[in-house]
Amino acid sequence: MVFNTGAALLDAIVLAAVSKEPEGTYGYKITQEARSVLELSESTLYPVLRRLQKDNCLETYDMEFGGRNRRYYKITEQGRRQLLLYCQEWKNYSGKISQLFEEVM
Amino acid sequence: MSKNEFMKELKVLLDELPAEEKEEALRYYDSYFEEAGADQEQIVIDELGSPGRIAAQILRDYQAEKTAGVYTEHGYQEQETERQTPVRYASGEEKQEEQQKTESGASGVYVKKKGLSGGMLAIAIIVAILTFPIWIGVLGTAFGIIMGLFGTVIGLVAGFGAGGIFCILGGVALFVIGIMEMFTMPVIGVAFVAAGLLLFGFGCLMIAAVGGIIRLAVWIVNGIVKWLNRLFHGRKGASV
Repeated sequence: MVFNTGAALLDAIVLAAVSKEPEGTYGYKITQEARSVLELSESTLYPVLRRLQKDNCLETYDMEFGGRNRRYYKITEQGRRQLLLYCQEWKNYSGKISQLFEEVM
Repeated sequence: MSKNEFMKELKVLLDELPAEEKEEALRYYDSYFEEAGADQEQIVIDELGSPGRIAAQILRDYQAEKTAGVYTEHGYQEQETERQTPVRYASGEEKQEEQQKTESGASGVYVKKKGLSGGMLAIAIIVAILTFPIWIGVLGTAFGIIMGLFGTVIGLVAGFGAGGIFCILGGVALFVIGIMEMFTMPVIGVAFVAAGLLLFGFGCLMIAAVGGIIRLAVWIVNGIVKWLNRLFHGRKGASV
């Protein structure tokens, strides 16, 4: 990808992917989701998930699936507020840039 | 690399983490493999990259917990300033600075170690090449001494062995001649018998000496081997 994905944007993408599932989702699926919108050169989201969890934006629970425990990540209230903030900021940020680009093209 | 090798390596590399943190990280990657399915194993390994890289990220992330590090799709990046707002826009300068940091820093512990040993190896090779005239001489001399000792031992053994056998055979012959001579010229016969016995005894001594020489040679070789052993490994062995 030409543009860098900063930490905040990566956080936002992960939070958005998790929030799409009301019951929560698991690491592999979150990675696939994130990879569908950006190239992850370092394609492991483990440190991101771990940090979001430490920041109380995500919570985890284990549920049996296919004979073993699967760890689910679920967005918290705080995570939702954070995501909302990210979404507003992104709209503002990308909107201005898009507008500028529009004038060029 | 297989999944098992990947996980084993990651486990070793994460050893310095607290048990709980380590367990959680290993569990994440293990279930990641599981979710992808056994037929995707190689693809997942290619996507994840080396265990060393993953471990370096996790370790740095853990150690820099308090110093506001960030993780982007380009890997872990350290920041000097704390994030004051949840959203931050990096200016051009900041971005450049970050990228430089990535280049110098994000290689991680694992890569650093590797580079060091590579450098050491290169130095060792250069030193070996530069000191070629010295150590080739030393090696040649040592080889010469060993071969010389070997030759000496073979020569001594062969000489004494052959001498001993000839003396015994000659002694026996003289003894037989002496006995036969005894009937015609008793004095000469006795002299021959005496000379034969003497020669026989001398031969026996020589054969005995061969055994002694072989034992002596084995003893000397053993001594040299032990001395060399101590020279190269002795210091470690002595301190243990």
